[in-house]
Amino acid sequence: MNELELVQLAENPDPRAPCLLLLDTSASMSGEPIRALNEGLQTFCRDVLKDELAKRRVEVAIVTFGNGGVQTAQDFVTVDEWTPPTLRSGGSTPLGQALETGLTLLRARKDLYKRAGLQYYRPWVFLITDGEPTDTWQDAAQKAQQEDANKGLLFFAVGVEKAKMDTLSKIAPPQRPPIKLKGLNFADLFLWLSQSQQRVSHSRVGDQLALPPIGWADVST
Amino acid sequence: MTWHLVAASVTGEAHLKQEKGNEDFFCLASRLDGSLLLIVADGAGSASCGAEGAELATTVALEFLSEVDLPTTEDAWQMLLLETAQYVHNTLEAHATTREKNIKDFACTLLLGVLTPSWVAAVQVGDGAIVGMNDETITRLTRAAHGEYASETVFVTSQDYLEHCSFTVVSSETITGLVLLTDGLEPVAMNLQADEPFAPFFNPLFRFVRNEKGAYEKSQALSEFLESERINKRTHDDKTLVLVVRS
Repeated sequence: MNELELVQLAENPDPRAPCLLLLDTSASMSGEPIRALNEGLQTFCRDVLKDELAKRRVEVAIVTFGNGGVQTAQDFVTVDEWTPPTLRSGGSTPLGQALETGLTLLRARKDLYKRAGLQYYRPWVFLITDGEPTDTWQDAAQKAQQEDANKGLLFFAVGVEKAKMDTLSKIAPPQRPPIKLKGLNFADLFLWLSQSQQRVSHSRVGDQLALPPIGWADVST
Repeated sequence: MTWHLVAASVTGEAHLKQEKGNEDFFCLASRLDGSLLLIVADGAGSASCGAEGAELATTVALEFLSEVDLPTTEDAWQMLLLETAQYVHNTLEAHATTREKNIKDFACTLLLGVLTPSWVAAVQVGDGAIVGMNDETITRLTRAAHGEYASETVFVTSQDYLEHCSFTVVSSETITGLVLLTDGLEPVAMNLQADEPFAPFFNPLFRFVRNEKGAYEKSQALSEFLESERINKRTHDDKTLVLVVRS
């Protein structure tokens, strides 16, 4: 290969694809739902790890609401350095406060990217809940929707089992209505999320990204 | 004057995985007056007909530049570069109408270089890079359009494409070599934080095209290089590199 062997490659940091998970860990998630959710997180991690590029680019953060109130269970970390937590259920559903905490976390992360001169993709915010908020959520929802409309993030809301879809449709951005999970099919949901994040982390403009088909949604509701 | 030319375009691993083809296209031609035309377009993966758009863009830009009278002043060159971008945009618009689609569906970038005995002119709309060499000094000749997010760019099909046309016209004495590359190579060829070319990437390439023999062998070797493990580890997008050096 002669001279071509002498070609040196520039060392550039990977652009980051932040993905914020807002997860309901309230008492109603006890038993099978929380078990399926925890397994879903493992599936997500395993699947992203298969993609050499995505595992260095996708950054996960988790904010839980329920057990212990609102908790940052995981601040942003690239998937190759992430150990999925085992979440426990209990308590009420302070969704509004969790959304607020998540948005703050995301803003801080973007500031950090900018200071470090890192390129990044449009952040995803993925909310999963099986109930109805027990706190005021209107302000936080409005902020999230506004940021979504300004292309500051992509906000997805997913309802599980007895989730109040009416309320959720007020929290989710009007252009992206909430999706009802088929049974407790967290495995397929997180596989989809992983595949989507892999596409994001390889993509150009996030806007018209063709996402994989959603096979985990309950279309009957 | 002799041109040493090499070009190659290979499908990115991400596209192979999604069973998509190479959405980069390039065209090289020399005019009867001895001027050289280098044209590259990168079809947007997010657009349904990005590859079709890129292929058409390179073809029509080539047609346009093959027939025009080449300018003799810097001003006229700048106009010609913008007119070429405009011609490509309008042709894609008309094509989209014929196909009963939106021009966005044919989204692609456009990178173009014209080398005459007196002038080197280049224009870029979108991402990727056009890099010039003078002796061992490597500089970026045009600027890529970037948004807030990684790899977010403007296309020649965008409504505001003219505002984002970045062009350069210089005397041929100041440029001994020219490279056009698509964004798939940016992570390995450019220092992204400084937004400058990474010279140790380019200098061996210029030596390679100047010193090696055989046009076919050279393009084969370049293809193999672009598909090599060490590059594929760092970038999964389609990769196109067009390089010319004069001696």
